[in-house]
Order: sequence, then C-alpha cells, then structure tokens
Amino acid sequence: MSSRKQFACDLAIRLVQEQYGDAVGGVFKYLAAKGQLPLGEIIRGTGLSASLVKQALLILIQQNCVSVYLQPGEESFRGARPSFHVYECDLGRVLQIIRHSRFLLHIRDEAGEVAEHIVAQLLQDGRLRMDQVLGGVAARMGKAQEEVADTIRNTFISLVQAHYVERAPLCNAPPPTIRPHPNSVKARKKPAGGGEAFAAEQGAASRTLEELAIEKARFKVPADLALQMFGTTTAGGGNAAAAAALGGGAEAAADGGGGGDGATGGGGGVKRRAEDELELLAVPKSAPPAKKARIRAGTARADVVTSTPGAGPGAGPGAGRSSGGGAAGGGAGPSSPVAAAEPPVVLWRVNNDEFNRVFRHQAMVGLIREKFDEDAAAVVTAMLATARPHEASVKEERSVPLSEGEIETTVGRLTTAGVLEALPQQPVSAVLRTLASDPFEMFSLAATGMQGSPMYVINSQRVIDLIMLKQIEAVVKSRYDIAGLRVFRLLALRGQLEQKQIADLAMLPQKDTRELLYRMLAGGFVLLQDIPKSADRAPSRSFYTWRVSVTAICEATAGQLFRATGRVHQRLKFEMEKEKELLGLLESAKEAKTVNFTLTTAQRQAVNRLKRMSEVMETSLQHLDEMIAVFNDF
Amino acid sequence: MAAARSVEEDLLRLLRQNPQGVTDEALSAALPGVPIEERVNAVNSLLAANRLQLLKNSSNKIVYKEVAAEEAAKFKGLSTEELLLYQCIKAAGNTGMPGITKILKVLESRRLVKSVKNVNNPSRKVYMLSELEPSRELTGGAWYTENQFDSEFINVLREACYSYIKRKDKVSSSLGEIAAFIRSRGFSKVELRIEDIHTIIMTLVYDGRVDEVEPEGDEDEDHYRLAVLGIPDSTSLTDVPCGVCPVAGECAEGGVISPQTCIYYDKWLEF
Repeated sequence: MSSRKQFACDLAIRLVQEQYGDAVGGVFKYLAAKGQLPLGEIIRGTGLSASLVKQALLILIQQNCVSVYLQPGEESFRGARPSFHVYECDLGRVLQIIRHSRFLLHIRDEAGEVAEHIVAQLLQDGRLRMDQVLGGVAARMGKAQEEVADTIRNTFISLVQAHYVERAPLCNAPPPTIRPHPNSVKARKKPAGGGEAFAAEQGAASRTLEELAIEKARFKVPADLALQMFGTTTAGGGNAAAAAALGGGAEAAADGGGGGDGATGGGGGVKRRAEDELELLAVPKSAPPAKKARIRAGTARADVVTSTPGAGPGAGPGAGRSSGGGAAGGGAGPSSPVAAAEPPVVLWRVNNDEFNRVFRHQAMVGLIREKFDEDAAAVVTAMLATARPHEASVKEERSVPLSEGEIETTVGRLTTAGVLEALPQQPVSAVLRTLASDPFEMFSLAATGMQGSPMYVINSQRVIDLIMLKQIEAVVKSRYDIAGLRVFRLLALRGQLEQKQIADLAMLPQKDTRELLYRMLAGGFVLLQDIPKSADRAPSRSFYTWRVSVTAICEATAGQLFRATGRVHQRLKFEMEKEKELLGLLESAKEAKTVNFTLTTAQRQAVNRLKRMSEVMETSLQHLDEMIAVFNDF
Repeated sequence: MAAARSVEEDLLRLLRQNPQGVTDEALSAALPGVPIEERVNAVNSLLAANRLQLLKNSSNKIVYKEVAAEEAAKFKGLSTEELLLYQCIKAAGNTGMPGITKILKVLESRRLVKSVKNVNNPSRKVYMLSELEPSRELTGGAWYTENQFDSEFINVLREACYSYIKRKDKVSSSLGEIAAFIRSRGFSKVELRIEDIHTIIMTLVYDGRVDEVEPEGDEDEDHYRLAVLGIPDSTSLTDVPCGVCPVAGECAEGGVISPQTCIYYDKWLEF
C-alpha cells in the first residue's frame, strides 16, 4: 500500500521531468530516493557522466528543486577530513510548481502588475541577482531598463518586506540533522554530561543557531540596495566600506558572527569551485544557469581572499576570514567581531511559505464567512492580520492570544485601508463571544488580559480540520450517495456501532446497509472491529462494530490527491504525445509565421479536441492543487 | 417448605394408590388438613416438574394422574403448547388425529385465526385469533407496512419535518414542536411516538441537512435548525475519474489498468 509521501514523490519527479528534461529528472529521482548525497555518489548511482550530472545539479539548484549544504570537515586522528557538499531534493518546493499561477494571480491582485512581473521572472528563473531581476522585468514590461529601474526596485523592496521574496540560502549552511522518528528510538536516558553522546546532542542544538542566523538574514534588504534607494551614486564598490559598516550595523550580529564571516569566505569558495567544475560545453537548456554561475563566480573572484578550495572554510573563526562586502576589505578588519558582513552576491527567490500562509488565511476566513456571517469573517481577518507577525510556520496550530482591544484597532485599520468592506454591524466583542461559544472549538477564550479585557486564541488547526471534514463528507457523498453519507456521519457522531444499530438509526433496509458498509470498508472510509465473546474468535460468537476515524481518512485522501494529480498528468502527457505530429505541424507553422496553411477537417477536429481536452485537464490540475493545499500544506 | 414437600409426597402417594386417576374432590377429601392454597401450589409444582398430568375424564371433571419416571423424562423440556397437543393426540388413541396443518387451514378459512409474519424472520409464521392486533415486535413498528420496509412513508415524514424546520428559518424548533406538527397533519394512521419522530429527525441530521442545536437555559429538549455548512455536491477529487474509480488501487503505468488506457478517462474526455 503506497503512502502519501510516495505518491508525492512520484508526482514531484514527474513534474521535474516534464519541466527540465529526462537527464535532470533522472538525477532528481535518484536524490529523491536516497536523501542527502555528495556529488560522487550521485554520479555513481545514476550512471550518468560526471559533466551531465553537474549540469543537471546546477539546473536543479538554480530552480530551487535541490538544496545544497556543506558538511563541515571534522578533526579526526587521521588528520582533518575535508568538508564536502551535500545535495538534497526539496520535494515541497517542487510540488508548488502547480501552484505558481495561483501565486501570480494573488500577487497581481495584491500588489499590481510590476510585482507580478517580478514574481513571474523569479519563478521562471529560480534565483536571481538584483540586476538580473531589473533586466528581466524591464524586458517583460517592454520598456528600457533605465526608465523603470526605480519602480522595479521600489516594488521589489516592498515584496521583500512583505516576505513574498526571500534570499536564497547560501550553499554552505550545514545540512539539517536527520532526526530519527521518535517511534523508532527507544526511550533513552539523557546522556551524562561530559560523554560523547552529550557533546553530540549539544552540537546538534548549537547547529541550529546557524540556522537561526540564516533565518534572520532571510528578508534583509541589503544595505547597498537601500542606499541606492536613498540616492547614493556609487553602486557598491567605492562605498563598500561604508556599506559594510552599515551592513554590519544594520544586521544584528548573531552568535554566528564567526559563522557569518566564515560563510562569506565559504561562499566565495563554493562559487569558485562551481566555476572550476563547469565545462564550457553548453547544453541548450542549461546554458542560462551555466552562464549565471560563471558570472557569479566571476564577480566573486575579486572578493575572495585566502580560502583554498580544499580547506574547510568553516573551520574555526579567525582562519581565512575575508571581511566580505567588498574588495576594500581592509576597512573592516578581521578582528571586528561585530560585522556579520554581506555575502558578495545576494540571490533572491520566491518565498512559497508566505503565499501558502495567505491562502491558508483566505480559506479560514471563507469557512467562517460560510458558517457565521460577514461580520465574523471581517473580525477573523483582523485577528489573522494581528497574529501574522507572530506566526513561526505556515502550519500553526493556534495563534498567539489576542486581546479584544488589538482586534478592534486592527478592524478599524483594515476598514480604513479598504481591505474590509464596511464596518461590522455588531460590536467586535459580541462577535468574538459568538465565535468562542461555537461547539467546534475553533476559537477559545484564553486568559483575561491586563485591563480585564478577554484574550482570544484562534485554533487554526481546528478550522482547517472543519474544512477537511466538509470535503471528506462531499467525497463520501459523491462516491456512496446520500445513504453512504448518512452512515458516515452517523458513525462519526456516534462512535462504534453494530450493523443492526446502524440500519435502525439510519433508517435504511438491512440488506442495503450491509452491502454499503462493506463497500465503504473496501474504500477505506470505515473500519471494522471484531469483539469476540469467546476465547476463540468464532464469527457466530463475536460482535462486529463499525467506526470511522476522520484523521486516518484525511491522511489517506491527502495521498489520493497526489496520486490522482499524477495520473491526470500522465494522461495529459500521453494525449499530447499521441498528437505529436499535429502539434509539430502547428509549431512549425507558427515559427514560419505562415497564416494560411491547410488542415484537413480531421486535423482541425483533432486540434479542437486537443485544445478542449488540455483545457479540461489543466483546470482539473489547478482544482486538485487547491485541494492538495488544504490537505497537505495548510 | 417441609410441609409443602410433605403435601406433594402425600399427593403422589395418593395418586400411586389410584393409577386410574384422582379427581380434585377426591384429593381435597383425602387431605383434609391441607388448606386449598397449599394443595393448589403442590399440584402446580408437580405439574411443572412433570410428575403428574392433568386430564379431563368423561364427565368433564379434572383428574390427576401420576406420571411414570421415564415418561417424565420424555416430556422434559416440552412447552405447554406442545404438551397440550400431545394430550390431544393421545386422546385420539388408535384412530389418530387429522393433520395439524389441515386443522390450521380449516380454522383460517373460517376466519377464526390468522397468520402473521415476523418481520425480522419472514420465514416464521405466528398464528393468533383474528380479532387481535399483532404486537409491535412482530410487525416492526410504524415503519413497516405489510411487513415491507416503507421507505415512501418515511421519506414523506422526513420531508415534512424538513420543511417545518426550514420554515422556522433562524429560530430553532424543538422536538416537541415538530412532533406536534406531524401529528396534527395526520400523516400516519399508526400513532407515532416521540422516539420515532426523533429517529426521523436524526436521519436529517445525518444527511447534513439539519443541525442539532444545544438548547439554552433550562430546556432539556434538543432543538434543530437548518444546517449552516452545506456539503458541496462535488469536490475536485471526485470531478476527476481517479477520485471515484473502483480500481484505483490497481492502476499503474504500463499495467493492464493504466491512466493511458483508462476507459473512465476516455469517457470523461469524450466531447
């Protein structure tokens, strides 16, 4: 029986293969199967040539399908072992590919056309430097770069501040520790202080400090960019010292101050190595990223000071530090502990999490609007907006406690900003009380705040649970008719029941109930449990009870969604393949720009059919993706 | 207790002395010291234990006879009806009795008795006097008309309840109100108990058309109102053939059942 993860993997591999070709797909498939791997093992495992693997990896990294980490070298008795790079596929990001059009639609509504162009450019190319963004977007807008540079830059900064765009993580962060599933580890005593195991645990804990540093830097607008905004003339080079100092001041140096410096040196090292590994042979698809990598390496080269490719750049503070940020590194000396300096090149990419968070909030507000009324929806929008800065991840279970006063101010603010339609009819406190008294426990009254005003908490997980439950009930209704729905809800509300009781309570004929129950059992919607009366489990002497487990069904449906999407995708590809010739004919006609070319009626029909069919399937894929979002990402 | 047993023993001794049988009067004469209650009790317990049998003699008087031990064993576990029938057949002696089924048919044709089918087990029949109404267990209650599950009737009732709840719109209706409404409309000849109406309304809850509402205040009756969260008719998953496919588990690329050769897809993509 395949699991949800397996279906998700299959779909992701299919998507990569469709977008980037078979070789890239093969490398991705191998990585998806094996987890974190260094380069040598990938080459050995896939059986492809080293150059092909490298190019494929570059494409994948460029497009954010694969993350790169640097496994730091360790000191051992045999001498220092070198650090090496480890590659890991990022399934989550790949699966978002289907959602890209939804992202674009949303960003256009929220931030306008220029923002849409920026996001589109970033989605197309994966990760880009600022100047590449400027060039690409200007080309999309069809205007000369100089005219629109400022607008683009402004919009870009606002996108970063709204967290829609983030910095691509550097290639030398340590790999995330693979923690074993808690079920597979026997409960062990805490290792005693001073032992090796203890040190390893502490090491694992401290490594996350570096992850914290990355997290902090994620949405930082680089100082030189900010400076450019405020009208300084030089672009980075001459003002580098000032910029570095500003940059150092602007960024709170985390404890990873040493890490930060090491990072820049490492960054340079990696890019140099990328350049070394790169062959000049350019395969058509990989030409753009290859060129970009060289450009990256090219600009970085001037900044790299001492690090040699072999040595572990992260090895210890103080060794081989290059105060990054500019060739004028003499300014900020190696002894300055404060400057967590800017890496030489900053790459930007789209932050899927923020989009998903927005969609999650939209879904929640939609449910509240349906279940209660427009006022409640407005209040909940305000609550979510107030709580948003405190949300650590997309899948928050519950929000921070919010006081009534805060919510009221936010309601007012949103109404004047035009986000909310009109002032709510009822006072906010009354709405909050109604929400909190709902038996489904989507909102709870938390402690009472300081001035005696009540504080409320949104149990986001419960809201999502209700959305999923409604979808599941709809699935049951489609598959098993109203009788099946009745039985399902009956069991969900009443717990374990015998077949006779089910038939009585649901008022269905006995024979029909029995058949229906067994069909639903085969479909995985109900569970059967035997309760034996005697020591041997003789069927005549046992009770048989039926029940439903909503959590299990949600999991199963999540997997089925991936599977169905995969199959629609397969069929679409197959249908396109069938009409390959016809498509080829159309393509060549388009390129030759011939207006009149004859098609036989059969061909015309085939074209029409193909068009309708691909429309239907593409829309299905989008609808399925919406449902996938509810079951998997929210 | 000892006294009762001694009464029984006396009775049995008396019967043994008179193998042709002892009438009731003879019994009371032979046991003068025993009050009539005790004698009756003793007779009943002996009857139940099959130690003596009850017969009617030619002058229609009740006669008691002792039952020999083996005979008692033979009759152990037989029900009263069976014993009675046995006695009738015994009374018929050498000539025997006409067939039982024939007797029943005669009675039925004369409309003295009728057969009633048990709803749970249609192959068993039960006979009773024509005038009597069969009990609820036999007929299955209000939901069975002529021993058939009456879906039509139930549907009519459901829709009636639903429209009543719907008309009340924002205000929730209590169980009592709905029951009164249904009774007033006279949908059913059979009297509908409040539990029956409750079952009907619960089916509407399970259908997702009606919500159960906790009553506020002191009332302890359930209230009902229209469901606020409707269930959508279709979902993205079920719009695609894979969502409702009966063989979804066996589908694989290159297999006998595959997305490329799927007949459900063919039908879906036929325009």
